[in-house]
Amino acid sequence: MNAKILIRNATAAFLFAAIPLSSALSVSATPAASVTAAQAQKLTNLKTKGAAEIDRRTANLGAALQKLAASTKISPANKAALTKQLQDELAGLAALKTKLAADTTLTEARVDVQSIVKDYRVYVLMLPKARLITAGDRIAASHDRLATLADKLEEKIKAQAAVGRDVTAMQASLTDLRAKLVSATTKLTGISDKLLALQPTDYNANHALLVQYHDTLKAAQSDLKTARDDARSIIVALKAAK
Amino acid sequence: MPDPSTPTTPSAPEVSSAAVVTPFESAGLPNSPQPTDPKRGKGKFIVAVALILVLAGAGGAAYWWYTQRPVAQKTPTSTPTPVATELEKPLQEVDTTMGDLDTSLGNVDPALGDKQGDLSE
Repeated sequence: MNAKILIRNATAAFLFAAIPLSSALSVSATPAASVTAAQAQKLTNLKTKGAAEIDRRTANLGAALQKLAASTKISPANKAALTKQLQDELAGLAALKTKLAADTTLTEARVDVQSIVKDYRVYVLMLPKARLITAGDRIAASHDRLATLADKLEEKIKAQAAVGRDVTAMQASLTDLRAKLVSATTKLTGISDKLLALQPTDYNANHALLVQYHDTLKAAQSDLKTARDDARSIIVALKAAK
Repeated sequence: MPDPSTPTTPSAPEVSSAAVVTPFESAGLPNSPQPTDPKRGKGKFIVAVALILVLAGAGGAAYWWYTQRPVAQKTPTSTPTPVATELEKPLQEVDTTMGDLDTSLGNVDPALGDKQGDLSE
């Protein structure tokens, strides 16, 4: 009797102990399947997001190329060099999109999605670079225009001096005008080439890469604004003298 | 007596000329054209020719006027732009460029990138 009870209890104990084990075994198959499904979903999401990011960059680069093609404010050499760089970016992104679509693992897709940003730097380098180079060429064109104007103003001032008028103030303005033009020239020299040479890897190494070029262009523009004001004051004085 | 073996051609029935009524007559018109006055037709012809000549002359005159008329001058639709002086024009161009540059350089934040694009990088 006791033996029977012992056996029954032992059997019951075994069965109760087995329930959690069996349930645990039965549950362990579901997480494995769900993990695979979750990874597949993650891969799909990553591919979708990556393709959208590539499309956005492609659209912006295409718009920049169109503006560049229509621009008459940029020198032909800079236009050709920039156009090639932007076209190379477009080609690279197109190839990356194909590669991303064919990725079969999360690891591959993650690498490709990171590449969209790190290897192309469309928004933080390439597009601002194009804008800065165009700005530099426009400042240079204004510089040349003011230099020609300065020569004409000098002739007028000399003519005024020849008839005995006081040209002291006009001459001072002209001297300042020419000094500002020299200052702007110094700042602008070689800046386009340096900007053109910048690559995404340079940005990855130094995120403040464009700050100095931006500041330099702003300073050159400021020089030209002062030179313009000098020219204006001379013209006003010449008109008053007549 | 005629020979009965010889066939005889039946003669056409005689019709009295007085009994024949032509369509003209039935319509109350004379059978033959009435003689006309030659002078009367000639006058009409001359009038018609004169009319044609007058019309042709008027047409020719109108065509000549059309081709020879002075072409109307176009009225200027806008007032002419005041010509900037040789000194002020380049200054205006520089002004425009400086304004554009304020916008262009303002759109580049070197610490963040191009404000026109997405800064998610």
